[in-house]
Amino acid sequence: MKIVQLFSKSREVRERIIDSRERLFRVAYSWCHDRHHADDLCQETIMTALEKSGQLRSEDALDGWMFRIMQNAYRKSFRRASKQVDVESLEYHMEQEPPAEADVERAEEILQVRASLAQLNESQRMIIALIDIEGMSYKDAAEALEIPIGTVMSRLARARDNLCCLLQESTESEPALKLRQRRGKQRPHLVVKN
Amino acid sequence: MMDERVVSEEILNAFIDGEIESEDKIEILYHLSENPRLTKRVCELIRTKERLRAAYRSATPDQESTAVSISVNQWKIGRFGYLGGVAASLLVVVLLFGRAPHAPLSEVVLSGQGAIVPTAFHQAEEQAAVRILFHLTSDNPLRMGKLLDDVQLLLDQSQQSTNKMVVEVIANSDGLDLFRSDITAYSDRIHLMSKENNNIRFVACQQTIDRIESGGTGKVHLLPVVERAGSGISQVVERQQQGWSYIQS
Repeated sequence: MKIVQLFSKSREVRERIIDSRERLFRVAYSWCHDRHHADDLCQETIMTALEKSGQLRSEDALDGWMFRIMQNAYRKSFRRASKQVDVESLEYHMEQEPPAEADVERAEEILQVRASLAQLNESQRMIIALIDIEGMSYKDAAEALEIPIGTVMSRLARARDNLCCLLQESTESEPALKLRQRRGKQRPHLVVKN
Repeated sequence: MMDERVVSEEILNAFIDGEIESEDKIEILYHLSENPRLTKRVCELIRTKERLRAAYRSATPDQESTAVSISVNQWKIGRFGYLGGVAASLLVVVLLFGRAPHAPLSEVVLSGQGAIVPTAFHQAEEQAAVRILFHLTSDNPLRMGKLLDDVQLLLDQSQQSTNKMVVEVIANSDGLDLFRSDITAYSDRIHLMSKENNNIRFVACQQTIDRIESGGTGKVHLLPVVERAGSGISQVVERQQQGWSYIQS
């Protein structure tokens, strides 16, 4: 009976690991702002988690454990590759063609926030993504990043303060929007200019 | 009463993240109600948190879509973003309901059936010395339960106190599940709270409802005691501008 329970528990954990792809991607993308890198990071995390799922002591610790795997993977492979996020390369895609005005405004808002987050330093970007985007508790975030809760609090406070300032600065600037055709693909392409 | 210097940025952030214990939370709430500068700061932090959360909601492993894209040449985008959106939402509320700019939103909130109704809550609101807004955006059942625990604690305390209090619980995004009659596990508890207290109100975000319904998953059914506001975020911003204390759950 115990063996059956252990087996089904292990299967549940593995299913939870696979189901977490979208959440992992969202955080990975907010760290690196590169879809391909984020996808690679996600897959590496899931593969490592599946491989080492036997090491997990408690199911309750699964989230913190997986994000710890991901932050280690991020630091090892992706940090060296792209320390700085190329803010100008950020794009947001919309479904309608031409897009409705409300969709354009929403896209502008999304890009504004993403571009501002991308300018935070790496440690601030990582903590604020786990707390605000993933919705982690301070305790889980501390475990994921392997730092004390006090450091989570101070780092998060600095991150939010810096993000507030960056968003404020961008809100005060005057944008000029223009619609242009994307070369070759003949798709309308909105470019935001300062 | 807590000294202003004690309410550090770290504590304010922990407060909006729901990381403060209930007893300390109440002390901070009273402190905020006496200090507009701190309240303004809390509003800024909450707005930043909400904007960040919203900006990555659509980031999924699958392409967000392919038809049209918007890109950044300069990272500064300008003032037509979020604030414009909030202002537009508020304007829509005014236009739809013919509401005076400074009237409380409770006057124009729709009932579950869509009709405008006067509320006993509104009378309680006018007499209240302490006004507290709980904001739920998560579908985590533990958070929902903790929110209701905190609300119950406040309601119990307000009955023993001479200071009259009103509490509003607003849910949007994933938090709407708390109010959905076919999903929530807290139907009886919410009904009982509403029945026993005229100083509490539950409000659902109409924009979230519209988004869910337009996704093709069918009609959203709310608990009978739940009212509707045009936009959850606009309601939160407005409440804070009116001096309500805010708790993110």
